[in-house]
Amino acid sequence: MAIGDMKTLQDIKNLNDYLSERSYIEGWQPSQADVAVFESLETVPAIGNVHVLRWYNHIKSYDHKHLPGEKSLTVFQDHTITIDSVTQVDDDIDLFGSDDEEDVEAIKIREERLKAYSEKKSKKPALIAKSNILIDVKPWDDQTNMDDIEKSVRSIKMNGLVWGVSKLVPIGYGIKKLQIICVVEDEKVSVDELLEQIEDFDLVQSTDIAAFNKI
Amino acid sequence: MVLCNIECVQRISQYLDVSPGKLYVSENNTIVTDDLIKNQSTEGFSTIVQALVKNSKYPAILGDDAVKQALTRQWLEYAVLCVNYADNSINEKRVLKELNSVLKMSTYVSGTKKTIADITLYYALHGLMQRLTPQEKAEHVHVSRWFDNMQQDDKLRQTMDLINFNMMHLYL
Repeated sequence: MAIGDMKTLQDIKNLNDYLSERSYIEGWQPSQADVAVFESLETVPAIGNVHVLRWYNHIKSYDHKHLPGEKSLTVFQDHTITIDSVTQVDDDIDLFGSDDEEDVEAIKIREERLKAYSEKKSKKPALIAKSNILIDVKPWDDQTNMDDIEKSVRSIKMNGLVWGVSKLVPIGYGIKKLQIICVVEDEKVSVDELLEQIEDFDLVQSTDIAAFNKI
Repeated sequence: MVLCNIECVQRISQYLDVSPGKLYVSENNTIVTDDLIKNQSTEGFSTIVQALVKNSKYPAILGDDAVKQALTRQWLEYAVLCVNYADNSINEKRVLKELNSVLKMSTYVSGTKKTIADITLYYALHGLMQRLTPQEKAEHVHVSRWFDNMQQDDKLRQTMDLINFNMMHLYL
């Protein structure tokens, strides 16, 4: 939340919460950030906002021109709202409304934040998990036409499956196996099913996964 | 076991860049230092601290005007009379409560400027603050804020631990 102009009571209340655990707007010593907020206050803060009042009197005691830093309205994180419920325990006099109101307010704010968070989360595109698989396809004997095997393997079409390069690797006695790379989307393609489909071809004796890498 | 002890005086004198002289505890249980003022021994915590300030290069740290100086002296006395015995849980609670109500309305104990009273209280209370649970820190939020702001000064903190005051999220 940005400290803009301190016009509404809510703005001052937020500032009050912010200053409940801090002595200055920024950092550990007075700066122009304090001056900027100080000047945006139109009147002396009410006694109910003790933190603002303390800070106000403190900043008032300085020579504003000689404070370090650049004058700009700071953006501060608004995580301190709920401190009220804690501090109210030792505040004997509650000048602003009852505890109930406070709770309702706190719940409202929390709900708003939760909503904003879930919206943000839903917008974020889910990361698609993919795997890079190197498959060995072995023929029955040296008579098998490897080009036909490759053709039939490549003929398998699934949603989320992309075939890559392939090569023939000799394994002995004139027999060669086909090594082929494919990229699959983990959610859409079942690797087992893919291997079964390849083995269903008459030309193929067996298949193996030579390498399996998550991308 | 009192909190305004010799170690506390040593740390204050280190902060003020002065020598504390020879410190020891006298028979009637007060701190005494020799040679702080020439050929004379100074007795009593508050008196020693004020003498240290006068000897240092920062006499202004006692307060700007007579009113502030008087207030600072009162706080030094408070340190000796009350904070000193805050090493048991009843006194500890009372001191924290009193300080909390004072710091609610002012940034430093004697107003808008850091004085020797803040420094003394920082050193005296450091051990106590270290022991506090996050909930106790949250209950005494004004003391926590003041202490957190004090401890950011490296020269003041010396070798002491930085205490974590980031406890607000726990009590949502």
